[in-house]
Amino acid sequence: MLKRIIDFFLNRRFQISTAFLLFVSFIIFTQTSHPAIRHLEIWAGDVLAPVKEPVVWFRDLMETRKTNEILSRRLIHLSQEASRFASLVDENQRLRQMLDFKERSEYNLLSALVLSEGIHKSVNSLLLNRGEKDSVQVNDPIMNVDGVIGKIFYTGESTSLAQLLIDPNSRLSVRIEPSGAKGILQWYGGNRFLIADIPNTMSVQPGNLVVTSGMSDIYPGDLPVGVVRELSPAPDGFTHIVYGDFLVNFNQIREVFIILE
Amino acid sequence: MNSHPYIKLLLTVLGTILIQFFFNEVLDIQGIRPDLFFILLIYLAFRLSPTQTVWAAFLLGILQDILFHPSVLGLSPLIKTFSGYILAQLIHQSFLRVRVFSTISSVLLIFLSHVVFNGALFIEMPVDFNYVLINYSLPEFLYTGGLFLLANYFIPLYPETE
Repeated sequence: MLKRIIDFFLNRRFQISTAFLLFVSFIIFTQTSHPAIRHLEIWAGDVLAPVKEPVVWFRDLMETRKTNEILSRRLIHLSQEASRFASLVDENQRLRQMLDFKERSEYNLLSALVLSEGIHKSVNSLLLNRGEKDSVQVNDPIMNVDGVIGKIFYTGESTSLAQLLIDPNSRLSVRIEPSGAKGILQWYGGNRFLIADIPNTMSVQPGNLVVTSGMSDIYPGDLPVGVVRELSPAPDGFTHIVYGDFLVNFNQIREVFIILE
Repeated sequence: MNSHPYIKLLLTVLGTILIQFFFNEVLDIQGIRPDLFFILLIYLAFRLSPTQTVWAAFLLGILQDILFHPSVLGLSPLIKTFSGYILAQLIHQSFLRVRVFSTISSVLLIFLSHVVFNGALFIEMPVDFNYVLINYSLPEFLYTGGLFLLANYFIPLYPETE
């Protein structure tokens, strides 16, 4: 009897192996947010970081990383100021408020290298070489010189995983300048986004700048996000759907800045 | 059993993994990168037993997700294990002994794997299938498929014809 069972399994080991492995893969895939799976991911990142880091470091050294970093820091503040000034052309009162904001917005920026990107460009997360030992926390925003990139969604000892704005599950509270129209930004494929439910009464034009609204607990206000490309009337007749392009080129992210709390 | 083919195979596997890991950015063309692991899987399928093929496919998929797509861990092993199963079945049926069929079937599998991978990711997005196909699946397929055809020109799929 036992021999028959063993023979059965041996004769069908190909089919049994396939079914077993497909089952295991499916379980892992559907449990991606499970803490054990997350721990495995970040553990792998921590293990691989020392291997990958020298390669990334050498690559960046060749591209004069240090100079780039200093210039990038300056550009971030300049682009932030530009977005502020774009919204302050009309009223001195608002200008004073924004200058007051400037006082408060000297962010503590931490530079981080991208250790790993996906093979498939539709997978929208990055493995960064900064972790808990660098004071990185979950939900810390990340950006580069062009604008907001996303946020930290899992931290390890020396690495962290970042969720990008071009992730199907990502949402961002934004404001369109100069009208001040607010909405929730959602990725729309490629480097595009959409913002739904913008009232018809708001004057939004192609070319308008989209910045973070500051209403979120995660992202500070006035960080540049994208530019309006076109508007389309919503089926309800009262609102518009705004389509736009991200300022960040998500295909070429090699170094980011984490805004520490 | 002669261990020489297995050593050669092991070195090929290691080499491919290292190239994909260390030179991923170098291989980048407008944000599109080839799936070298899939090309490797096809070659392994022609050199291993069916059971070995599905295990190799699963391990390659897991490794690929850990190295490159940790946020969707499990998707690559799912697709690669299934692809390994299909490949092993076709090879076992001797259908793929004709070179042109083996090449066409492999290219078709590369295409399907990219369509399924991107389709699974975009399933809850407000974008239509054609957009995903044209902007993601097709370019990735053309790159990976092109590299496979290039490799196929120089390295035969069947070890006995090497």
